[in-house]
Amino acid sequence: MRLARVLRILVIREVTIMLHYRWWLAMLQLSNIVAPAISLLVWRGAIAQGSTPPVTETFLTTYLVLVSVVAMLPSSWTSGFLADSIRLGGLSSWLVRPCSTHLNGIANNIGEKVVKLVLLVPLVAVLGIIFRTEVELPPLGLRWLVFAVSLLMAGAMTFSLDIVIGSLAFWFEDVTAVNRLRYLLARILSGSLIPLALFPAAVIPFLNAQPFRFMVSFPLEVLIGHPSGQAFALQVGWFATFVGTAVVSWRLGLRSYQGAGA
Amino acid sequence: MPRNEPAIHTEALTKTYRYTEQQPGLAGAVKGLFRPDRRERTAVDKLHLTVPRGQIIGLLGPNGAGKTTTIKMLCGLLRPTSGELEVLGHRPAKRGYDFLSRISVVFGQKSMLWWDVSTYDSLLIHREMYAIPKPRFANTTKDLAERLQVQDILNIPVRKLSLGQRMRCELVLALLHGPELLFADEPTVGLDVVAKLSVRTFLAELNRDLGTTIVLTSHDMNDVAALCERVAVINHGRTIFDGDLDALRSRADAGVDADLDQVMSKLFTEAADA
Amino acid sequence: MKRYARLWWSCLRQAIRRDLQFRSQTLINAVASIAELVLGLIPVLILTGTSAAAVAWNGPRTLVVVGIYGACTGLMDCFVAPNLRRIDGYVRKGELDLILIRPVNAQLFATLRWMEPAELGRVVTGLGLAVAGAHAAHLPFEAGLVIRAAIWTAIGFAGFSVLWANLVYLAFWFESAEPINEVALQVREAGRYPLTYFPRSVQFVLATVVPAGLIAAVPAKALTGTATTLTTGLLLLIAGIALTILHWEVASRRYSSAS
Repeated sequence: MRLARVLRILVIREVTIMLHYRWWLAMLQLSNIVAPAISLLVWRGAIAQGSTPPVTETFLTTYLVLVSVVAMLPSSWTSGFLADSIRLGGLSSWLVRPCSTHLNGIANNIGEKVVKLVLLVPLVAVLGIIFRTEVELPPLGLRWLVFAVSLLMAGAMTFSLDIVIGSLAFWFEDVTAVNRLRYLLARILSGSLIPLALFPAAVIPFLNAQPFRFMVSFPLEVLIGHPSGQAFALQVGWFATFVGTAVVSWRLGLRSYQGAGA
Repeated sequence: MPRNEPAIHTEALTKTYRYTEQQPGLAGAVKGLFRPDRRERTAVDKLHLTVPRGQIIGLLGPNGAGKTTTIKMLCGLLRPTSGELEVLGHRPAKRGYDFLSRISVVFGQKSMLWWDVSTYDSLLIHREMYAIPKPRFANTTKDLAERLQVQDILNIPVRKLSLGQRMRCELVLALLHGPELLFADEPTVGLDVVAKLSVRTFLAELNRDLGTTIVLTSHDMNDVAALCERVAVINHGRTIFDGDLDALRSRADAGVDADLDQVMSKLFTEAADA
Repeated sequence: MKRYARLWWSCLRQAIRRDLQFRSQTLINAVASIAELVLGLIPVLILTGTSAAAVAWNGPRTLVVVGIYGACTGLMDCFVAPNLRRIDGYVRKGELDLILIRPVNAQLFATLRWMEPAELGRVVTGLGLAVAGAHAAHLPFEAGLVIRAAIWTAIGFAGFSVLWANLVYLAFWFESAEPINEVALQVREAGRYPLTYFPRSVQFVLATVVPAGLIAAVPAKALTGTATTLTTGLLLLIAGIALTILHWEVASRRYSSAS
């Protein structure tokens, strides 16, 4: 109860701060929509010229129109901040208060999402209107609910991964290289560039099992595709693994914290 | 909780840091990966310290003497390697709610206030964090703001405040939840004379009016002389002196009006020779 | 001119010395730079793989496009991008003062001062990919065609840098222009794909105003001997450079009047 109230006020504060950076965030959203828009253009071009991808044109178009929002919602940018606060000692300010620094991280991510959503939705809507003939959304109902649950789990997974990578700063000087590698992998493997179903059949079993799928692609599959019950179980499994690893690595890290500076 | 129990009690408190030494260059980095050169350094060495409630104690020592490590262990930031440590009847490293809501920390070099919003907004966050009832929140805020004369600047974004103003706002935030024990780590560093005096007076009043125990570290001997009834001098992780200022002076064979900077400097160099 | 060449050379030497100091970091960056190229190949190969017969593009030719793209953007990320990324900071934090007081052309200096040699790993890999692709696609190796392709890539390189520069000069006009770098980078990604896949109108844009298409797609076409004449491209580029110089003049005057 106390934590819920703290979270509420932290989110309010985050939104106030984010509003100062609204133009900055708006520009960032513009960059987020460019990559799926390019994919959309070339794939539709290919289909128009007679190409036959393994998914329907409607699925492909709807997927690429929605993917920027669905990738943004469970994303997290905490690892860099966390690593800095460990390395420079800012973490100390949080450890002496009766409130976890991660509550602040969560509030920061939620606040940022609220503002970004307001900025990104119009851009996506424009994309949707341009390609309206091929965009198909399911009617409101159970499917949207499951989608939301899956999205929440995806968010928890990326946030946990951020904590794990951030925690590396307890032991290593610099985590930016690890982060760069992680984003490279995530870009391809999460399906935020093109749907995973387009990959060659030989690699599909691997793609379907790896965790990055459940951070972007899977929630979208829930919404506009037909994922198996097995896949849901797999998401729950990865979710538990990620959260567990985050808890363990944070606990271990705190033990070896030396609190640079004051 | 028995009131006569000491605020801080340590027995043979020890902290050793483990670190790996790396040879320069790529070859060194590769070698370090497979056969790391592990070393140990003792930052705090079997420290004995008992601080009764209501005392202002100055924790002094040259840079790298182990006083920061000690403070960090006392407020739960660092886990002791060995020895006994009890603060307000708690083990600090567990960082339980009851413990954390009874202590507070002010860092001279690090801000606890949120940079982009006003002090008052930060106070609101702490109100929820420490679950402070609204009437008590209003009273405490008013009282602290008056004592520190910050009524007019509570609503200005922190980034626009001068260092002196900010430090006084830091104190309001740190004391909002009425802690029994305050760690003040170089609270006057970088402040001008006026701000320094106001911080000093405030800390003295706090101790006198509310009986708050204060652990102060400072390189400014005037702070120490003005506030501390007792000083503990740490060097190489051990206590080399524990007593009041007069005792400190006589220990260094200096008169009552001797310059404290010279007294301390003599004490440190003696310890280094010993 | 000679003075500028020597200045540039000393900047490059300093950059290499710096990278040699932080070897592990440099190594990781070089690896990541190459990984970016290889991973970026995947969506393009998948696209051409499913539509080879229909669009008359095939895997090997795609390799040529992605290879040239990788090499050209590697050069851009080594010599131009690190500078453009800093412009916003120069303006916001007032660091431009330190450049304006030097006895050199400020715009040129602000565009060429910083370099990141680690990105050059991508140039070598990219060229390797392109050569392998050209070989597998049985493209005829003619010096004339190669030179033509190289000139197109150079136009694309300069043209896109000019566009990017104009975008970051927005920092003089707006306070939060920094993410524009991200937008430029994402738009550049369009250059990875053969132009044929885009709708006609977009093809035109990618060959003129947003010359991402000139970086690799048009040069790859030139290698097959079917590209248009160079003159229009060169003329557009000269016009673009002239506009950019003008933009800097107007914008930097605004800076000095602001501080």
